[in-house]
Amino acid sequence: MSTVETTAAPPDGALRQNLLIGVLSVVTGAIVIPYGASMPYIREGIPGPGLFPMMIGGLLILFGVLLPLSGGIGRRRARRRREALAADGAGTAPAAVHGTAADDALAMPGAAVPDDAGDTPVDELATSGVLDTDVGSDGVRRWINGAILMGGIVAYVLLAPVLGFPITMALLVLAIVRSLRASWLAAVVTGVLTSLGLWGLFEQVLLVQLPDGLIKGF
Amino acid sequence: MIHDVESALLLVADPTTILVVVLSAIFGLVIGALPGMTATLAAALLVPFTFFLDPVPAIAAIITMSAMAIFAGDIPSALLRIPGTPSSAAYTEDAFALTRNGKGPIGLGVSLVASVIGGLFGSVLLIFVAPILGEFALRFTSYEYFWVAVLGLTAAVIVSKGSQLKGGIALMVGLLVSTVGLDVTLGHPRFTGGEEQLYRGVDFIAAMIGLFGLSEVLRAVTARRGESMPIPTMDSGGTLRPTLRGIWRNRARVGSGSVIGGAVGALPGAGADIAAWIAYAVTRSTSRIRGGKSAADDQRIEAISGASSANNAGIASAYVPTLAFGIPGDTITAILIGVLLVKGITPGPDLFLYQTDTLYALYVIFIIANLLLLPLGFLLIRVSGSVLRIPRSILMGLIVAISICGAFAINNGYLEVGLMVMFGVMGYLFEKGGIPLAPVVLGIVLGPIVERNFMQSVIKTNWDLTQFFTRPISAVLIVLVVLAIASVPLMGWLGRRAERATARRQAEAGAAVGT
Repeated sequence: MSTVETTAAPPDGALRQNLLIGVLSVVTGAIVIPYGASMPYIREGIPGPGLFPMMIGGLLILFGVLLPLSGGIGRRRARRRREALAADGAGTAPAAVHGTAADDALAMPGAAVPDDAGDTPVDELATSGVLDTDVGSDGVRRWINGAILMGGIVAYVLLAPVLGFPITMALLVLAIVRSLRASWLAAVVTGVLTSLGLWGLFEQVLLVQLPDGLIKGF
Repeated sequence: MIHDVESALLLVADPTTILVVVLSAIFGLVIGALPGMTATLAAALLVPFTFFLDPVPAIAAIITMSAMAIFAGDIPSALLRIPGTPSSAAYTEDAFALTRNGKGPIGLGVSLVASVIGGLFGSVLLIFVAPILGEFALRFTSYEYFWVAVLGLTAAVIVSKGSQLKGGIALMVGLLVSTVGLDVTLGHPRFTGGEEQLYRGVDFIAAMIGLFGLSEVLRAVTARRGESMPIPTMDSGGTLRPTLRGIWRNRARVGSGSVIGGAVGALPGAGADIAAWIAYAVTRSTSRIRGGKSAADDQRIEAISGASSANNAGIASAYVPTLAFGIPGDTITAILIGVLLVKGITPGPDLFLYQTDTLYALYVIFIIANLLLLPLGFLLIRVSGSVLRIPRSILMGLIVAISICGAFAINNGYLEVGLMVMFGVMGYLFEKGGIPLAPVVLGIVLGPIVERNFMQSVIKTNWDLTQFFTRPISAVLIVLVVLAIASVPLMGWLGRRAERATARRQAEAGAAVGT
């Protein structure tokens, strides 16, 4: 596996991502340094509050420049290695994997799962239910779900002082749970129970003043 | 000493503390058992509640939760072939293969008992090693603290998974966040945009909830549709005897795993998952089980007993640098340091001098948490099928609700909610860009310590920078820093190598089956 990782050139997407992160990092550093320099000095020539931000800004610029460069260098090295491999006539993938497994002096003998020929096939396992990890969606629905979550939190901040915590929180949880394809019943029950539970815990036990809104006096 | 232990026991025997320990144990077991939900997420969700607790129950909540979550991560490994927390990844294949052969409960039982023994070993190590280092740390001045904090920061970057440059950028972002607010030298407001509420800095709790809680929900709701996974049935009746037999046969493995875990976990920045990989590789490569009936399964149980004791020992020994120097060993200890600072307790040598009852209470909690893991863990193995069936959609709704309440409760205001959302988006984007989040946390926690000690030192000596290098304790510390920093990549490299070797063997086995 290791050879596959190192010989395969990083895809263009990863390089572009590194470039983007690098640029953002450099820009942040470039904003922070002059801001740090504008802060008052302790004495003439002795920086105080601004020193630390300026150091951070400098390192941000340094790392930001190095990140895309290191990606590019890794890519070139990978290409050269692949050419050398092709020249040897051992360019086929299985041979490459096998060759290095034997070459790799560091490979620990037995440091892996032994061959599983004797194990029960996965299909024959008795099952007792299905794991519902799958809350993902396809296409535009993913963006709608993201928007429901973020918009929901903003709406909560705006509406909680008016409608009060219990109602607003129940609506927010209902919207999020429902957007992840739970049934209406499950969504409503979760929303109401979560809201009442947290209300009881924070307002009654921990004595946090949650926004009351409409239902003042309880 | 006896008096301290007595008052520590009194602190722990408080009904609130006991209730908190039990609740956070259950919380840790459930979150740890769900694939994709990490112990760090669980810690971040606990933090707003610790805000209302006294220091001892607050510490108890986080310690108990993390001990439970690391074991619970083995459950989805065995049932679904997905590690519940990264520290279970080393032996996921073995655990799942045991389930396939009808030995799942035994595998999990061995893993549980090994975890308990490893955790107890780590706690004992902590109790004996931390005070020695703490005594050494008593002679520290601002120069030494500066170096220790630098060590913590460097280690955080070196062990980051993936690109270390990205780890460096993440660390700088964390440090930058830590500079928001009034500065230590002149009280000059920095990065506040004129907002007076930001003068006291970015709230640590809001940042944690956002980075690890909300960002997780954001990722889940925008994920692509995947496959549903069937959960295999496990008959866990009558497993106690074979479990104990398995542990007894592999007692040497549990011992070596505990030692490896204890040593690796104590290195700043290394942590439980690297400990598990190294212990796994060592156990596998020195295995003496050859041939015979069910040799493969025996080897698997052997490997699990080694690696599973290592990750729990690592969790406990990660508290050694945390308590002695105030330098976190991993993300969870970083969160704990943040909580302690909020509570007005400064981790470090002061803890050994002035707050010995808190310190001993912490030791007691470690022992209790690991002992409590035994019955609760067996219970979890029994009900694991039902725990895994908790609908993910409902959990996501709950996490959002707790995050909002937690952020709001910090200061009864919406500024923290806004910060939480900002950090949530940041965590989501960082994850997408492959930037690790752990250095951000360490930057936020250690930033003020590094800056304060550096500024104190240079102002004290009128910018005589040679003082950082010529003081005797500093010199010792620099040597230690260099050694520790050299050992951290070595450990990381060992861990990665073990990871790769395993992956390669699997690929070869797969190819052999295919042909």
